[in-house]
Amino acid sequence: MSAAGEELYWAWANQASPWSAWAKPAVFATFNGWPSSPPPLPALPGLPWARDLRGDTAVIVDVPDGDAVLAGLALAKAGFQPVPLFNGCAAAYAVVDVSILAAHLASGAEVLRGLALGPDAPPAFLLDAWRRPDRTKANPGRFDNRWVTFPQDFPSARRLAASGITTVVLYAGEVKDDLAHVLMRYKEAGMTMRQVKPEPGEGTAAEFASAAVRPLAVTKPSRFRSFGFRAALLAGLLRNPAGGFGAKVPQPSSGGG
Amino acid sequence: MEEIRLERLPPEAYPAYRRKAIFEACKWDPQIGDVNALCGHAVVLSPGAAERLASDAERLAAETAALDEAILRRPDLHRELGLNRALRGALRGALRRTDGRLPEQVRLMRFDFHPTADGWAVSEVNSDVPGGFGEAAVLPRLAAALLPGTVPAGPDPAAAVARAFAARLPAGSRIALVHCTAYSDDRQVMEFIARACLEAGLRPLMAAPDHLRRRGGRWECVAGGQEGPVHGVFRFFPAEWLPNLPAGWRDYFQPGPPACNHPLVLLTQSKRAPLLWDRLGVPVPAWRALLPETVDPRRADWQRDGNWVLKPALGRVGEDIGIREVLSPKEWKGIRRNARRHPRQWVAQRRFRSRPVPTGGGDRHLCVGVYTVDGKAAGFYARVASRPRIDQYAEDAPVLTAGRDA
Repeated sequence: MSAAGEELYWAWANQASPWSAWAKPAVFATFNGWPSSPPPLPALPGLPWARDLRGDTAVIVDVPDGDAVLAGLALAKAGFQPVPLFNGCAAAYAVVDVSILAAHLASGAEVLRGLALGPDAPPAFLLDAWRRPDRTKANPGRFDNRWVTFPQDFPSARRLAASGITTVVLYAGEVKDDLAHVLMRYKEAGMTMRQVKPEPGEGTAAEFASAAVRPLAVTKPSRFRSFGFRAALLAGLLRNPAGGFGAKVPQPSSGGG
Repeated sequence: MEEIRLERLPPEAYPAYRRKAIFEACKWDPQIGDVNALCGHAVVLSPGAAERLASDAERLAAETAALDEAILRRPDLHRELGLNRALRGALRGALRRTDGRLPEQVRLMRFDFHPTADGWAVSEVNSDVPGGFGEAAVLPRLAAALLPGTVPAGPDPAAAVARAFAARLPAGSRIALVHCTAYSDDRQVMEFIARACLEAGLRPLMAAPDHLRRRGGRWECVAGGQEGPVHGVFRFFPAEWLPNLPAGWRDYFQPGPPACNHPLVLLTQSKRAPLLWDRLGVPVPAWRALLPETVDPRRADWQRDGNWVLKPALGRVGEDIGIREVLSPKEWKGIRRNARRHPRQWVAQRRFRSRPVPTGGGDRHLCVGVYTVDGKAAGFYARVASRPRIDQYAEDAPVLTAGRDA
């Protein structure tokens, strides 16, 4: 772990924001290739729709790789506090290459420092839509750093409501299985659910820029709130046919296992 | 209970404490839903309480080690531990190759103590893959600096594990840290162990269970960039999950280079192990004194009598523990149904009355984990909760002891 990673984490986990408590340190703690002078950022997406959102709205970004970081920075410029929820670890020979995402995190830190967002900025939670690529990429010898997101990675609907947030906008081409469990909880709690979805396909951040905010129809995912949900979700991360996860993995063993 | 108190960390210092914990203790999951996983209090034990817990843990460790071998030599009893057929087959194979003795290993355990109205009780031993090293090693150091008159209650268990490997192996030996590589929750534990290995002059390798291959009695690592021999194995992948691997998983059960722990300790990881005590001829006075009565669920009236707790034989992190009044009706229904259908995979344990510890913000229940490495006490780790069930939503707390002259 490098000091640079820690410093970058704190640039993203803005201590003025209550939402930074949810920021995930995994990438920052495990990536070892932080550039001493971060490369220039690509152009940020315009996200004109974001400018119309009010302080009662949280955004969940679920677009691929570094585009998630760029979208987070664009949302920061629109007054949102980006909260990185990237929970995969960096490693040599990894299934999920986080180098572009990490480079953008490094370059974006300076942008965030300059914005100095305050405690009232609503959250924009950032996910990498490529967190769980096709299982055939996880060959023996590769380091399986695929990951999934869980409801406990997010604040509850009650916690969001306590800060006056009543609407969630999903910025994604599709609703991933794991995220559906999060969104369904928000919907059940009475939150207004919306989505920015490009036409057609999953698209890049640039394609999303001109998309419109529409109602999001969240359907109940399989095993919703079931005891075996976490197990079932993680069992989908089998390596060819097993590996980093093994197969029927019930629960992580840390923290008291 | 004067021998234990919860002392609040100075609020103005807490943000910095939390920040340091994330990176110094590799605490990468500091927030679980709406719960801040890093407790704002420290557990402060009297010196006498800390010494007694350490002493009790050492007695329990010695008895557990004896139970490991006694149960291994009784394959006729393995089915009663809630182990599936594949595991029982692997255990029989290991018995043939080991002559009934556990192979060379760094023996790591963590015993979970709870303050009760009748003194301390032990709810279980994490005999296979205990975690919490970063929290146990770093949080006390950070907290003691904030609370005058206190010191960490125990040593760094990760350092103790690394030193135990170093005592068995030449400098520069390669230790495979076997874990679910995709869980950042588990990777954080491995990162902390890796640091301890480096400080002990060892070379840690990050590996998934199927990154290891056994050839001619030796282990090799096939993970990209880390290929080569493996001289020791630290496993943070529960033994009962090994049969889910595609091939070669039985190799883990064979004698080989030093392991921590060897998977054969699964025999005492099962919470049904106490059901065998009377048939083993092994004296377990410490266990009998500290563990609440534990029986097969078919021998307890747990459905009507709220004085029983249901536990899965191979449960971890406190999940699926059935305490009727602290669960939602849906949670209780699920546990009850499972225990009725599969009683061999559960135990009923006489419920102890957790004695809450007061704080300015209300009472808290707690569990103090005491590590042992090769039979010696090696550190403390506490979890604190507002309800008398210590589960994944409990908060991690440092364990300190009041200085002798405090």
